[in-house]
Amino acid sequence: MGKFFEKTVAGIGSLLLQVIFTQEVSQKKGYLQSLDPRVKVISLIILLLTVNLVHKFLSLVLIYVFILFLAIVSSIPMKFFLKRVWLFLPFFTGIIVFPLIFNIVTPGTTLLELVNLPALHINLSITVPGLLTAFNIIFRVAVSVSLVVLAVLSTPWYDLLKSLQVLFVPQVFVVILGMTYRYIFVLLQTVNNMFLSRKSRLAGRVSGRENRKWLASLIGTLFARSFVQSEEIYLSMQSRGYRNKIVTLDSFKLDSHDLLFFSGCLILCVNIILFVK
Amino acid sequence: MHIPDGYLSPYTSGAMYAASLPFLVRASRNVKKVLNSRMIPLISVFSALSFVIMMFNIPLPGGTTGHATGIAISAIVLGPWASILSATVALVIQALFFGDGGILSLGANIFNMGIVMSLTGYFLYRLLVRSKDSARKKIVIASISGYISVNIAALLTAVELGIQPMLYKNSLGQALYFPYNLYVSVPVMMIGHLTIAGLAEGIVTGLVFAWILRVQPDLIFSEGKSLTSKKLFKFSFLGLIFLILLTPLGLLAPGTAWGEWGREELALLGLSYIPAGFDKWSSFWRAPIPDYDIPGILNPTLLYIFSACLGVLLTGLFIFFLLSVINKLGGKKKSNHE
Repeated sequence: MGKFFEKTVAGIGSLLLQVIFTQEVSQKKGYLQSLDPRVKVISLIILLLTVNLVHKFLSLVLIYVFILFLAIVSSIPMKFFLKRVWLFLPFFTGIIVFPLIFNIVTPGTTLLELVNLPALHINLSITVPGLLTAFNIIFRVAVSVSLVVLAVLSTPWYDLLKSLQVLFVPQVFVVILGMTYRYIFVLLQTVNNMFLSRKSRLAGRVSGRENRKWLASLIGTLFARSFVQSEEIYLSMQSRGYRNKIVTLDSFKLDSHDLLFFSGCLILCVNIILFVK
Repeated sequence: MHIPDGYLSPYTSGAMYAASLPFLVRASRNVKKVLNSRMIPLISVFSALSFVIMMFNIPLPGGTTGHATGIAISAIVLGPWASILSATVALVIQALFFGDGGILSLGANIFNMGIVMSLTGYFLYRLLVRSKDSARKKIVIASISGYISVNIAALLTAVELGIQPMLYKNSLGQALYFPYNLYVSVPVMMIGHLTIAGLAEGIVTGLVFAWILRVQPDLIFSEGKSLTSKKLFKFSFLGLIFLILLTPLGLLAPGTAWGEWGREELALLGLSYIPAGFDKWSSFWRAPIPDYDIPGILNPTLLYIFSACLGVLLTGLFIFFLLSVINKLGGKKKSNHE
């Protein structure tokens, strides 16, 4: 049935695994897990802004050390945390910044000469400023990704969504985000069943053309089903007393630990911006 | 096409958030007016669908596979506004939970994919299609709209990335964010999208549209009286002007030459970051614009603002040019039919 089948089913599988794993970690007992999600969201934004504003490599290292420290005290599995960030980076950012390390793109002092043929005017070498620029960019992306991963791993999804309201995200959007998240799994289940039912009925080779047609009918079916489903959800909401008003239970409470964490982040960021840059 | 954090400067990210906001407000108002309280379940389910479609590997001719966003087809089926909302929600979940695209750069991703792709996908289809067209022709038009809209989104992404090294460098002149300028980012991005990603999007748009047309044609969004394309053009134009105004605002913030980078020795050695390789190539492209020595704007900051405006303007002009050409072509097709 071709690679697309295996790829998509594997993609769905790894996504579900990741979700289950994340949920488990976010419910562990740890430092970050005990904090108010609103404080975490605001601190995340402040730290992200700092990471993207500073210029020096040292600042990025300082913030990364802080992140690793937080990950350790929040009993986040280190292997997973590092793998999630550093396994995917070389494929995207790594390839993008790779040409930067050569003298053709970034001239400067030579670190390592690769090819030098003066007769042919060919001179390829790795330069010091090139390597530093490349590392700086990779590290900035890595620290940014680490921050988001850390926040997600230490906060249950619905708490994270609810706390978005402190960033002036309208409540309606928060409700839609929560509902979408739920229906992603419903749809994924449906899709998985559709893939498997087709696979189990197939023998022999199928042309790419037929595969495309089948996939299109699958997506079309999902469109049609989604209309029906949304109507059903609406009716079930109404029958449970929904009257265009969203009521949420506000259970978040700030305590001294939250304030301590927040001021810690703030002091770190301000100091880095002012003194290290 | 999802831009991760660290590729765009925070100023650009801020400008992109600001540019997206009016579209999102307008979209939620519009959808709310049409759907009233039905909006929440409908947008939720379709956001989930949008997310799931982005996960599919599409089998392409030649044996490879590619991802499609499915935004063009959802814009044609749901209408542009509902599509903007559902794509935005899907992008937020991808960024927050699955690390596809950054948090600071989310505004840019929403603008490029959620907003621009929905609007261009929908309006290209509307401009080209005539009600008496055969089903086959409609399918081809839907497919073309998908192909072009994903490429416009890719072009915008490339421009946003490509202006980074022009705008933000450290005191040594080295890149801080995305390191390559427009002469590199645009061709590299467009090669991938004119081929694989564009093809995947075109195929998905065309085939899904064909399926819906055959099985449940009543699903496809038909324009109500409240929404005219003229009104929307006016609105997109305002958005564009807004964006141009905001870009320099972001530049005026202390972003350039701010702090030292690297070790002191590097500065002593007199190292300067000149992308010599690109300069060579760029002279070829720059030809239509006579040097940067325009009197009065020798000031580097002003120069940056100028180039940023130029970049945004060029993109805008490109889109409008494309739309007008397609519009003309559509008109021709119509006269052929008569």
